[in-house]
Amino acid sequence: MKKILVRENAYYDSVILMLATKALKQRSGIKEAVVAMGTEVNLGLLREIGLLSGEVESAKPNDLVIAIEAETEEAAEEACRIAEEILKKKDHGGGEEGYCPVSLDGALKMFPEANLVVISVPGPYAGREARRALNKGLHVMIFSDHVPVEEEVELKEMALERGLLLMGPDCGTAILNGKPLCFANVVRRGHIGLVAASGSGLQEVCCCIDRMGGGISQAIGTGGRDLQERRVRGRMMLMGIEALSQDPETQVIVVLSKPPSEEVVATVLSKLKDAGKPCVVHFLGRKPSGTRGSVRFSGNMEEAAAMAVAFSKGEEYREGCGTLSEAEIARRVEAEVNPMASEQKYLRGLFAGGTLATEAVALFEQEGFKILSNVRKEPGIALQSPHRSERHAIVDMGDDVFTLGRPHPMIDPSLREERIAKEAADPETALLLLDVVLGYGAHEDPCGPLGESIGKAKAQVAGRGGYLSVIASITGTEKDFQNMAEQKKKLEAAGCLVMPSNYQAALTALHVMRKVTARWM
Amino acid sequence: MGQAILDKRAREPLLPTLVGAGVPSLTGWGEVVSVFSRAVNARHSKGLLVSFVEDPHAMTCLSVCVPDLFRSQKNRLVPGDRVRFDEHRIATEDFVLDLLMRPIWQGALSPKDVEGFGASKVSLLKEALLLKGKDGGFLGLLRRDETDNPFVSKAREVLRGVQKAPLENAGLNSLSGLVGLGPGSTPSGDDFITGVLLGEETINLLLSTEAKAVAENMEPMIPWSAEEENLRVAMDRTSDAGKTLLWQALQDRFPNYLIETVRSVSQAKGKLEIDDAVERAVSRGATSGTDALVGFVFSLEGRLLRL
Repeated sequence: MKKILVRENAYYDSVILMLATKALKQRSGIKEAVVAMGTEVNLGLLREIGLLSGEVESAKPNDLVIAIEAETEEAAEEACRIAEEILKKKDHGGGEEGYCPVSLDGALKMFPEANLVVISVPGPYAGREARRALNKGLHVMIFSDHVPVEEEVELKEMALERGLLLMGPDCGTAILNGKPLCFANVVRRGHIGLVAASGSGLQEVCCCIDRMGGGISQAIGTGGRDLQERRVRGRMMLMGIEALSQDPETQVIVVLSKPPSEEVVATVLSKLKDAGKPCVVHFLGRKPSGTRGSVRFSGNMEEAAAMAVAFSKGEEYREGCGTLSEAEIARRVEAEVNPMASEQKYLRGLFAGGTLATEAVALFEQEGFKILSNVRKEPGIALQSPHRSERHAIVDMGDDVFTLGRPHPMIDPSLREERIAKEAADPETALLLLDVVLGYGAHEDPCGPLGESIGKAKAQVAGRGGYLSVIASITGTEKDFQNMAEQKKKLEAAGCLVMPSNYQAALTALHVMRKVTARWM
Repeated sequence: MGQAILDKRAREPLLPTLVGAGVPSLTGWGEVVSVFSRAVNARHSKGLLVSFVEDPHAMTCLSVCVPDLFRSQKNRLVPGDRVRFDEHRIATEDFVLDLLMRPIWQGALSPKDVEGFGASKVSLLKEALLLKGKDGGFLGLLRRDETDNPFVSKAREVLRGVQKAPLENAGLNSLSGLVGLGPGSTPSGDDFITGVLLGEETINLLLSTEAKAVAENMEPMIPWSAEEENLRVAMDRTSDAGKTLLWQALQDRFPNYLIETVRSVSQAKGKLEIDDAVERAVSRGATSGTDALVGFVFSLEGRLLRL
């Protein structure tokens, strides 16, 4: 059985052609396979070895010819499919020297069925690319930051007019129809749809939902300013809610945002009330205010996940589920505080996720602690320099000041390792509160180097007669490629107390710090 | 219409760091046909590929080294984009390359490049090539054993014809019979011929005037007087990439990686350095580096000993 494929004007790298030939020849049932340009002499050779058919006679020197001789028709068909797959992979930028589109047009020529574009170019150019994509009828996710707010408004208006999503700017996470985009975790599919103006927050809630046995239908990112900036007026949040209300797979809607603008909150809540589905809302830094029709408010991200899972199962949410008992917390707190030296006074939070840092700051503030942080801009509570901790401090190390010219700490843990050493050198440091984010895009073994740094820091503090308490949470699932269980073991082996969620880690740290504070006040 | 578009738009001029010697002679239109992470190929209307490259090591005499093109988001090319060649200026819709007064890269071997060459080095080169060369192309020509590679069998058949062919009847059974033969977007035969021509140029530069006189009395591997014309005709029977390579080689211009290989082997003080040079060359493309070096060895083997 012979089969010939001809691709006109195919400018392929030789390595790709070689890979295709090798892959075909290795398949069982393949007697001969030739992948070569349709030059006169090559066609002559194919004729000589009996692979030439009428089809290939028309091939020209710049056409790619794939000639296969197989034992059966099925084997020949399968070989053709494999060859096409390899060449297509190259078309999509696969292979070391493969085609790597340098523009949207180039990418679309190679992958015309694409319906969503992820844009990650320097901020000043992101708007132009987004406009091009929207004009071509494509949904857009803008990973880039530093896009002016006026441009964000204009782009979101354009998207709304065309019925398209515009996620971002500065949108790092989404899961659409089961496809993770940028930083995202491998979560179970299900009936909970999320819209979030928060990247690491969206990851945290998705992972908590997965851990609690629920599943995700869609997870839409809007970019951090969508609800915070009154000029943007939650345009994409409203569109996301509308999309989820119409999505037959979505039974429960979760809305999540960093502290939103007051003007936008009312519009969002009104939209949710009309969604016709149970909704859970968590606005970071705002206390829950009970129930408004089908809309429930949660006090933290883990609780938002627990509520959503309960509603998706048609159950009532029972407060406190999923958190540790008071007695267990007390036991752990005792163990952390008792060995500390008297001069150890302060909390130091070093976070990779901005929303995770914000959640911790909010919890401590609610309980009366004054926390200095770079997630706060207000005078008096903003850290004077994010590079240097003062008193109780929580630092978002994913902030632009740390990532300018360096990878984000989710990707490269080295910057946080240095900072851990710095905090350990301060005799007033009592507790390190950390987050670890797993999933696509994140470091392949974040807890390996982090565990080593924690071990060294603890040894340093122990060397001067103290005890460094380290509490962390891991945002991830068992299905993430980093292996959640292994990552947790590495932190625990370093003497770190690993809690099941960011909220629980912050809460445990709060209990520890209350006790620490009581000792020296 | 394309002309009008190109002329109306204000475009930022980019300054290449190196310009291949063959580029400023080109005029007319071209079209971008392939885009890789560190190279963009535009097909000139003559069927030659002009490459815009990021790395000077990737130069040929039909390349322009313009690193800024790969660093800027603005100046991007995609397959199908029109390119206008206007001697010292290359224009696209988004940018203009100003070639005037830019350093020219000749792509030619110099006597200094070959001064350390000798028969012993060809033997070591062949040894290294047999050890490190990539299979799939024409490496089997050096092995001289049975092969299941139909391209190698065909090449042997053609080359046997070369050795037998009388000068006045080089015809199809000559080196030009290899044009377009073999796998790869640059067919192995084209790489092989380039290697042969590189070998001829090496010998040419290596010999003193007296030695040249001796060499002229020796039977050359290839009947050049007829063969050069045959190759020029045969160029139209291969792919654009193959044609581009042959067009340059027939003017004694070679890709930088081949020149660097000859230079490294010439300067090598021992086997290890030759091994390294071969290793670098064979990493080129799938089998391009291997096939060109097979041609190079094929051309030189025995002849240097006889001189």
